Amino acid sequence: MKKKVIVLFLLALFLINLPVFALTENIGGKLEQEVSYNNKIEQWQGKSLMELEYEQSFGFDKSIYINTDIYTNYENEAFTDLKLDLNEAYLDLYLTNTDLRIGKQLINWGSAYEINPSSMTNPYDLTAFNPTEGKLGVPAVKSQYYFDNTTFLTGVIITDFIESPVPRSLQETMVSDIKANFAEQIGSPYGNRIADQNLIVEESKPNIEKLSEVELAANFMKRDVKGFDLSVSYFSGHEDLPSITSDLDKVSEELAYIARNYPTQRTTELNIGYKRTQGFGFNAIGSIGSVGVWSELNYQINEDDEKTIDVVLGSDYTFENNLYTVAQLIHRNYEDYQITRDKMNYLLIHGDKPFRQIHTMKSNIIYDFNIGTYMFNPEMTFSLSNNLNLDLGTVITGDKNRSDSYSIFNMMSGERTYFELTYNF
Amino acid sequence: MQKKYFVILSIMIVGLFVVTSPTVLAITGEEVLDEVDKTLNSNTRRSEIKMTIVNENDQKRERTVEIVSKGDNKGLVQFLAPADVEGTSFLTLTEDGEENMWLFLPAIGNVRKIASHMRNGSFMGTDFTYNDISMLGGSDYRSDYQSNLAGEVEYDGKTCYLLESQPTDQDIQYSRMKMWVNKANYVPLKMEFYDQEDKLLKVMTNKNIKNIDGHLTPNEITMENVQAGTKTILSLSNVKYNVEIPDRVFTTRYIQQ
Repeated sequence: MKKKVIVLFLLALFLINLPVFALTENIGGKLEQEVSYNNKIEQWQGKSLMELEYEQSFGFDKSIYINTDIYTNYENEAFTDLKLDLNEAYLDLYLTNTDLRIGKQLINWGSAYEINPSSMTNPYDLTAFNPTEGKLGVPAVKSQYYFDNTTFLTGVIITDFIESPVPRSLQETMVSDIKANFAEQIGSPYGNRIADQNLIVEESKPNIEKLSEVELAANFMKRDVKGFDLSVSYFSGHEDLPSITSDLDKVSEELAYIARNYPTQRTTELNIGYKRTQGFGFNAIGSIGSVGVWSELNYQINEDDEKTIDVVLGSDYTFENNLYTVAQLIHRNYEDYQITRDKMNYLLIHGDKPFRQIHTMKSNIIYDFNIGTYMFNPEMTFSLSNNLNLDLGTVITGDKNRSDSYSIFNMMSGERTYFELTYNF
Repeated sequence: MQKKYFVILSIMIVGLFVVTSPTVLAITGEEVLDEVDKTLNSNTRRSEIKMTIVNENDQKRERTVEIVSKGDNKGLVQFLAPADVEGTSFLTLTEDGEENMWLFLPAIGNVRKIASHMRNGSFMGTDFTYNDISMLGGSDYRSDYQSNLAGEVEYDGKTCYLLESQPTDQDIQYSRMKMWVNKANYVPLKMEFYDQEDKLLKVMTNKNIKNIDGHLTPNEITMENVQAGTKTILSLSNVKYNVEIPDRVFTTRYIQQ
């Protein structure tokens, strides 16, 4: 009953505030109310959000754009404080052959559907309901030089480091897995206590003010090469997710030494950080007959020579009844990692179709070949008026108890049922 | 003498046949279609269009787009409203008979090349396909359809050429099209599109035809899907012909700026 009251209160607040936003034509945005029930943690969650966009052109060659989110989350049966995020704020300058964008911005490269491993400049917010939509802006200078209408080179300098926010449970799982591994190596009866009390976890972030830590990216694109758009990309920067930067063998040896000699006096550090990495990408998108096809490849190697290879192959087709379909294979292989990670092999199937002309139904299925589990996400979008939409959906996973930190299912907030009311203005 | 009468009679019979036969109307179907393209086409055209989508329950949704075209090989559609689709752009370029299409979605922030299957998909939830919309920007019926003149008929109080057309472009989803063309000015007033089972699928009507900058322009275009019971009404405004539109407008660079 209490939950119902909260939901009704949020809805009322949302609807009462609609007329306030009779704004100038340069200001737009949306009001959004998300409410979901998370089956994994058996809790109601929610988010009340107001997104504001401001866009102003100065003649044909300059414009500014600002995008902010003001929101509060409902979690653990309470509202968090009101938060404000500046997603994007940049100045565009259009010169004869060059477009410049200066400020906090999103940079989107890659040809695959929703999952773009070669787009490495911006981190994803893994605490978002749908992390593929939760890309975060980075402060950067982007320059795009056009050789002609179909060929251009993009260069990016990123002036600050922003990491991927990760759900607390995932961070804890990563550290507790390491501690459990050490405890096993030390052996009982002291193992668990030593690993827990004598190991200090230290997290550090890159200091991008140092020239050697600056992040750079480049992309060269040629459109319409025998009907295909082709591009190659390069990234030199940091991984978005934290990982263990200490030599685990040394830490393990030291812990064992402490356990034997100074179990109550000495500690040792386990360092967690964001490793320097380089990425090399290749993209192609075009059609074979009337079927759309694409491929996206990315090879990543970090400062410890740990390698990640991503291959994404996909195709799309629209049937006569307006059913739009996507089929995409996603392969990720890890090589030479200090902590062994499993390969990932996914099949993503997407379909969407209008019904009663103004509403839409869609579904995403992700199937994991390696462990034989799946995630199914059907969703209906009802158009309630020109600017007001209601989304109803559910996420069903085939293995809700899986605890692998790097599982895509864990990163997608687990099983839940949700609705989302959005008013665009 | 008998031979002379026979020749005269033969000439009269042939002449009578020639005069009355529909196959020798003063103009052929292909020529009518050429005239239609000439009437609808211009060097450049810019127009704002309000799209009203009406579903089978008579619920209505509105969208506003701007369509810009240059010749019959460059077209750009940009969404102006509602807010959730504002900034979405669709670019079509045809070169050497090859049509290339790109879509810019602000939410993705990237220009994406789209394959020809999209041509037959619904254009942003309307009863028009992408292909139908590209025809509005710059008509090129002649290269997409093979037409025969079926005769002259009355439609809406006007004498019209009735064309029976089959698509020559394999990507067009319709099995055939019928077109009623006003004989007086070559403006198509009505079109019927048939599905692959040869059942009537859609009816398009052009109304409120005005002379704008010397071009006859339908200001209200309705596409009705008779099988689904839905329709989309396009209301044109701010139509301008032969205005200066630089080539850079029809580039992927421009649509993402």
